[in-house]
Amino acid sequence: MKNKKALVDKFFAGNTNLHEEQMLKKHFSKHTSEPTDAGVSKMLTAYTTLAQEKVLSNNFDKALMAKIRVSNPKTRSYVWHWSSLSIAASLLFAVGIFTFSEKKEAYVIEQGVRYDDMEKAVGYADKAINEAIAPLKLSMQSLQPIKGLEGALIPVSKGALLIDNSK
Amino acid sequence: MDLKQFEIEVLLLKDKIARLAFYLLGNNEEAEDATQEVFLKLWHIKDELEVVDNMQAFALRITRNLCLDKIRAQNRRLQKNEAIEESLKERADNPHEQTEIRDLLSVIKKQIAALPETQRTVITLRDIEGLEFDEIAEITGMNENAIKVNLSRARKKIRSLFTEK
Repeated sequence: MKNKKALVDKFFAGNTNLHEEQMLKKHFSKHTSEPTDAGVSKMLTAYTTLAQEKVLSNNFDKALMAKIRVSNPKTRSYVWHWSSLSIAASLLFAVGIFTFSEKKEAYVIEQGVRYDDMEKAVGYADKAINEAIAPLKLSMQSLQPIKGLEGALIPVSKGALLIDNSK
Repeated sequence: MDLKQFEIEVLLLKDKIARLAFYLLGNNEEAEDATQEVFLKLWHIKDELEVVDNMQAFALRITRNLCLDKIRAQNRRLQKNEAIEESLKERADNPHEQTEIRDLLSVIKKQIAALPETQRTVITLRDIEGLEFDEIAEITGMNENAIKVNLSRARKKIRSLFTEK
């Protein structure tokens, strides 16, 4: 190596560039015990090794990424949105169960038989009512007008009679 | 900048950041904590990172500032250096210990740790990380001449490990 002494002096003056420093490292990696190197070879060899050293533990990336995800406002808002949706869904489900459990069922029991069909239920209800009022209809038909009062009854409107006392 | 981009462009600097933190703080555990803190800080300003020209210099400047804050807050630099100087004195008395590469690395690390903070930062960034002077200037805020002066002093102090009897 040409001008080795001058380059070493330049190195210790802090004036070498990166290329010159690389040249020195390369030279002293091959000539490790030159009597005049004044410890330069050891220093430069050590620097090369120190530059490869790992300070961080193996799970550094994983731990860091977990912290970043937790600190990420976007991720946090997603978490909040999903939580809100879950809560809303749970509430809807609970309300639904309550509503359906409270719903009144329409049915008719006819002679000990339960009918859930609405049309049938209404049909049976009509039939039951007609049967109940049938004797009353017969009674109405058997009523006879009282003699002497035939003309006194004047219809004034449907369903009502007015008694005329002037006759 | 999204998480994927952050992993690709920023996280790859983790070893450089961790080594600088290690040489400034003096131990692996604190260096790892500081490195994590640096990345969380960078993540919080992820939108501003889009306009950063030199991500490496930017991240290392944040690392240095954070470590200096920690050192100041704990006021432990003097205590640490006293312990290191004591240890170095013992080693210098016994040159046979320095023959093994493991010991050599250990001694050099301790010698770096015993340097004043500015010299420590400059020698770490230049001799271990291989950064250009303009990058070191960006990280430290020092001019090139001041960097060279500090680098020269630091190198001579480390050389003294091998030349002093």
